Amino acid sequence: MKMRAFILFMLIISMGCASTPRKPAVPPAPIFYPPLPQRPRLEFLHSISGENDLGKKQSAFQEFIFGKRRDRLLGKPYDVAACKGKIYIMDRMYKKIVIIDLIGKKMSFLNDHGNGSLGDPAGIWVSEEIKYVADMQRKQVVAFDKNDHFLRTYGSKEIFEKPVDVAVDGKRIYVVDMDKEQLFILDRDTGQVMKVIGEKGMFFKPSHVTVGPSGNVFVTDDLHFVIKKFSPDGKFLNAIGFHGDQIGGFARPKGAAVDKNGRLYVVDAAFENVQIFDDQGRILLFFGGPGSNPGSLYLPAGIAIDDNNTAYFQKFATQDFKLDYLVYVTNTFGKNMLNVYGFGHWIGTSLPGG
Amino acid sequence: MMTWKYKISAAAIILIFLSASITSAETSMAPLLSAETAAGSSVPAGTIVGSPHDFRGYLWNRSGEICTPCHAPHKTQILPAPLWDQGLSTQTYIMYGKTRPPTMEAAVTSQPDGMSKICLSCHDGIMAPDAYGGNTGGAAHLFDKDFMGIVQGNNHPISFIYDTALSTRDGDLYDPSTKPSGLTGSTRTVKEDMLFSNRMECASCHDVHNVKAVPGTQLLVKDSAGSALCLTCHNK
Repeated sequence: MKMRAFILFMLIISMGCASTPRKPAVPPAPIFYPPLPQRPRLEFLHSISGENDLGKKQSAFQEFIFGKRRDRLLGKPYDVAACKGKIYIMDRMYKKIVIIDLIGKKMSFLNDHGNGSLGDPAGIWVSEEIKYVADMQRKQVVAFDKNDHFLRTYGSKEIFEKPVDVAVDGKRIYVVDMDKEQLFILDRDTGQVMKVIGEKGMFFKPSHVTVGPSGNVFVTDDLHFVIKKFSPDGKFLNAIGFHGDQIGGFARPKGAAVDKNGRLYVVDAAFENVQIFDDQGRILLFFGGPGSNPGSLYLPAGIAIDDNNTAYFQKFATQDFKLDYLVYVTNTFGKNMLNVYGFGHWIGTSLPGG
Repeated sequence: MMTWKYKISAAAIILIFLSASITSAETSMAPLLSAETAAGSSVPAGTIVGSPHDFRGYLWNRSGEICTPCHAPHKTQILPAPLWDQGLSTQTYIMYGKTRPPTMEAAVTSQPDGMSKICLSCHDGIMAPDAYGGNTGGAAHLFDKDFMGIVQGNNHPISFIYDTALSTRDGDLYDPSTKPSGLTGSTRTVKEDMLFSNRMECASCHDVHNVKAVPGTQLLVKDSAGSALCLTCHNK
C-alpha cells in the first residue's frame, strides 16, 4: 500500500514536471524557402498578431500594480502596406486601418473621423508616405497624409461601383472595380479619370492591383484565374498563370506584389501559399503552405513588399542570411495574422549546389 | 503517510483543474459565423444549375463549367519544377489544407476547417459576401471596447466539434447523435445529416450545391421559419 502510494506520487510529480513549459535549449530551426541544402531565397522571420509581438514588455512591477496588460490584437487583416517604421493593415473585422508602429512598439487605429471616415475599406496602398484606401461603401479612394490625417478623396459613386483595391505610381492612381470589372487610371493631382480599361469580358471579379518597378500594372483577375499585366498607360501585355492546382496555377488568386527586380509574388487562398514568377512568367518558387506552423498561411489575402524596414527585421534572420527586402502576407484566419518573410542572400558556408 | 495522501489528492485536483481550464479555453475560442451569406436563391432545389453558385453564362466561363470555379481542375501535364526549388517531388498543391500533417491541427480545432475554407476563400467580404464576421478567440474586443458592437454581430461558430459531450456540457443543445435532423425525407440524426467528422461547418446549414436547399432561402438545408433550423440543435 505504501509502495503503491509512493509510485503514484512519483508518477504525478513526473507528470507535473513533464507538463511544465520549458524554454527550448536550442533555438528553433530556421525556416527557409527553398529549404537547405538548396540555396535559400526567403526566410520566415516573424508573425505579428498583437502588440506583444512587437517586443513590448511589461515589467513585473507594472503587472503587479496594473494587472496583466491585455494584448491589442489584429482582427481579420486583409490588405497590407508599409513605409519607414510603420506597417498599415486594412482589417476587415474592424473595418479600419490598423497602424503597426515598429519603433514605438504599439498598435493603433488610423483616426479616420469626419470627411475621412471609412465605410467599408477593402484595399490599401502607401506611396510617398501618403495612404490610399479603396472604400467599397463610399465608392471612393480616400487619401491620408504623412501624419495619417485625412487629405482628400478620389472618384465618386458616379465613377465607381465597387472599388476594391488601389495602387499608386508617381502621378498615376490605379483603381480596380470589382463590379464594373474595370481598371481605372486617375491623375493623382487633378483626380480626373484618365483612362478606363476593361471591355466586356476582359476581367471577371478583378480583386487586386499592384505596380512594378518599371511602372507595369498587375491586376488579379480572380475568376479568370490569372494575373493580367498592363503597361503604365493601360495597354494589355500578357497574362500569367492558369486555372488549376498544379505548380504555377491558381485557384483563388488574391493579393499580388512586385519586387525591385520585377519578380511577381501572388497569394492564393486555396493553396494557402505565395508563388513567385520571374518577369517572363516562369515560376521561381512558392512558399507558405497550409497549417498553423511558423511560416504557414491560413486563408491568406494581402501581400506587400517593403524595402524600408529591413534593418528592423534583420534581428529575426539567421546570421548566415542577409536580408534584401521584406515580404508581408496577411492571414485572414489562424493564430498568426501577419507573416513577415525576408528575401535575402545566403552568406554562410558554400552549399552543395553552389 | 497521511500527508502523502493529501499531496496526491491535491496534485490530482490541480491536474483535473488544469485540464478543465484548457478544455474551456479551447471551446471559448470557437470562431463566429456571420448571418450574412450568399444571395438568396429563388431557384427550386434539386440541382446547382441556376443556383447562386452556377457560374455558367458568364463570358469568362467559356467551357460552361459549373464545378471548376470552386473546384480547381487537376491538370496532368508535366510542368518544369520551380527554377529556385529543384528538389520538389510534387507537381500539385494541397487545396484548402485538406491534407495536413497530423501534428499540425490538434491545437487549432476552432479554426475554419478544410471544408469551410473552400467557402471562406471566396466569401471574404470582398469577392463574395462576408460569411464570417468574426475571427477566433474573441480577440476583437481587446482592441477597443467601442468596436464590440461591430464585431460581435450575429455570428455563429464553425469548425468546432459538436458531440454528446458538448451537448451535456452546454445543457441547451440536443445530443446530435440521437436528435433527428428533421431534413425533408430524412429519418437520420443531426450527426449523420449535418455534421462532418463530428464538426459543424458552413455546409451544416447551407447546401452550397442546392441539392436539398429550401427555395427562396440562403441555400438553407431547412426552412428557418419559426427558427426551425436553429431549434434543430438548440434546445430552447
